[in-house]
Amino acid sequence: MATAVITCSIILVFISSVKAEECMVHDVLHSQSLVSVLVGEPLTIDCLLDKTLALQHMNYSLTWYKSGRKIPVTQVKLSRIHQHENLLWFMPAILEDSGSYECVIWNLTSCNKIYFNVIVFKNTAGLCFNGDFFYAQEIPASSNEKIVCPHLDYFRDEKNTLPIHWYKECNLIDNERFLNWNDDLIIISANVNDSGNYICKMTYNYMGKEYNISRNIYVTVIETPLKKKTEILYPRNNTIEVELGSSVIVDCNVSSFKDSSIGISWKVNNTLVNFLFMGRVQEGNQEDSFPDGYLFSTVTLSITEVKQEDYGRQFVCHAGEVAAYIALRQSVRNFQGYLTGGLLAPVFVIVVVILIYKYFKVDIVLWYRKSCRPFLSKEVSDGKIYDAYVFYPKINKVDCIYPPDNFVLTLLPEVLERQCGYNLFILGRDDLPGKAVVSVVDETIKQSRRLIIVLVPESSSCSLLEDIFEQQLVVYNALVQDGIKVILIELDKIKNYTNMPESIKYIKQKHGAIRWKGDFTEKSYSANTKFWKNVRYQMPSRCPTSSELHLLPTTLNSFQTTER
Amino acid sequence: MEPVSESVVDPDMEELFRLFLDEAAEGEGGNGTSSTEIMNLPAPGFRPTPGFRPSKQPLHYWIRDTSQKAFYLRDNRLVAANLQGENASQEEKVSVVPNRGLERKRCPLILGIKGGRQGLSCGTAKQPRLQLEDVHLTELFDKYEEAKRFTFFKTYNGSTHRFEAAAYPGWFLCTSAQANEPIGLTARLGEAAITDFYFKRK
Repeated sequence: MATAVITCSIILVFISSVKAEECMVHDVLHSQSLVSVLVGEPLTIDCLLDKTLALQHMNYSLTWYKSGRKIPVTQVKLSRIHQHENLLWFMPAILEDSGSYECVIWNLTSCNKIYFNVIVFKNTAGLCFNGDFFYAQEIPASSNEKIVCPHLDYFRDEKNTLPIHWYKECNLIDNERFLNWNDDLIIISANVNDSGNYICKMTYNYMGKEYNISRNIYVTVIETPLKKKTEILYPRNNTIEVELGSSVIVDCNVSSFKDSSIGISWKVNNTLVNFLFMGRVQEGNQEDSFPDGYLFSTVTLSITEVKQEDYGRQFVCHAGEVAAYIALRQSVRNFQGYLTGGLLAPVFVIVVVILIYKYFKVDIVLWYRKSCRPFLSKEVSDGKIYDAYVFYPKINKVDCIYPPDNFVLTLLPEVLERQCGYNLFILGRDDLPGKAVVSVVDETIKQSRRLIIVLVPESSSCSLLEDIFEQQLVVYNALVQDGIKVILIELDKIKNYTNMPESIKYIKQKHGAIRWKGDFTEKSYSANTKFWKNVRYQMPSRCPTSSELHLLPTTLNSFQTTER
Repeated sequence: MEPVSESVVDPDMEELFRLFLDEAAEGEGGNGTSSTEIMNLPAPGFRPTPGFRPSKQPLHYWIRDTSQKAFYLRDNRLVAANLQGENASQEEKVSVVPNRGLERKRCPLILGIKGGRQGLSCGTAKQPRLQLEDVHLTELFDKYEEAKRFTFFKTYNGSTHRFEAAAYPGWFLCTSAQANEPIGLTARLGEAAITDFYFKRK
């Protein structure tokens, strides 16, 4: 019985080996398939990597042989080298396993043979890897890309799920920048220093035994910084204003990569400007600079003399695949600007003049009168005798706080009559005794050009209303008679006008009042104080305020001396 | 004329497009842009040979999916796997020629392998299927319609690239999560298939 079995198997082996020799060699790679493994580690070889071959061989039979041996590899799982389904297993591989192996596939009609060359290698002395057997992997710098531990397909199953350990240059990686992700290693923000030899290691349990599995990966981190697209910074498809006949220079500014060489050119209708305009429009030389690792290039477009036909034309700057144009537009005079300026300037001048006039009105008028005195003196006489009729409260009481007599009888004549040459009528000074006061006042007011009303602050003892007839006449003339101007002079601040007659309130409201704050010192006698200027301003134009009058002597006598 | 919205670009592409499109246009356009050409203006009556263009060779790019799988040919199919040691020599680089019939802004690339002697075609069926076709990429450069099934619009996020089939919008070049599986096309972004690639001129 045993003999029969042995004989039978020998015959089978013989038949299959005969068949194998007749098999057609299936050259999948057009060269021998190389399979390499570190000594002492498990290795599997899948004969039918290419599934199409398996499909061609429906109901196929597959047998592994070590080349040169007629006996196929055993299918006994406990054997170090055995076949399991389509795979050839080395558990583990030893140096002597190196060599050629054949996988023979046959079915009823055909037979194919595939060769595999197994290399069992040792680590380089002093290293944890062999530099000749590595997987080259490349990742870009600055990325979070992964490197992978390859060919673990048959060693990862439900019993073998322990994490993979990663080593760099034989040192276990323990760094936050490296993340174990499934069977991969993710390098966070990889940089060129991460290049080098990596080893991934795992343990594999098979039939109660533990095996080490390792792969040597040479990682290259490629410095490929993100690069900006070629971009035309200027022009930006815009229009510029230029005058006819003027010369124009426009820059085409381009930013691009340092290592790219882009031709930059100016074109019109897809033709280089240099060949269109007989030299009138020319492209300049390219100027490059390298700030920040980028290339900045400039090519100028120069138009020596802008012509009518240039307007609306698109001058296109081409830089590689990008382009941008600039168009010219005839410059329009800035009407709006002129309009604004033309309106604002006079308004401003007017405002300034008004302000100046407001604040220096009195001085200006007085200066004008002085300057134009020769012409003014030729004025036709208006038939009036007096320049002003002075009306003031006639108070004889000593207890009056503001006796107007001093002002009216001394200061007023001194300044207006003597210094300025006005002719005043003061009742009680200029009227002839015996004449009827009413008729004198009435006639005199009619012969006066101005009516000066001197007011004193009302007190119990000082009353304006003493001379009732004169006052009535004065007020009548001031209110009713046209052509006579009223000059209201307050001898001190009159806080309360309520006790004043309505007519005076009205006059105050209509003409305003000039307040005399002065005393009877030297200064008050000067016709150039503000008060006197205001009075003079309201008086008819006559006063010769010559400079010598600034140095007026205080006394009447000395003044008269000067006058002479 | 409009500025391109993408804030980052692939400098490799600038070079590719400049070589193939800008310089080719200069050669054919007659207007010319390089000053030296203009300086040596030929005598009147001279016309350059029609279709004359300096011969351009495809540019070659190293490609990896984000699981670091490289492309290689196995049994005449393009598959992706991690290649160890000497197997790395099996790695296929992607050959690229721009498609000048499509909008340049979208970065249309005619993709191939074997130095540009095989094209990565999406087929012509209703459903796209990635396959290799024996065709010269440089010839496809001149054939607008024919080139479309080999053309992919490439987008770049600053580190990885994505390739959308020009003839099949919404379909992207992908690899399987498993090693040694063929490169394909998927309409399901963000699922098991890997659609993001490292893509660099070598």
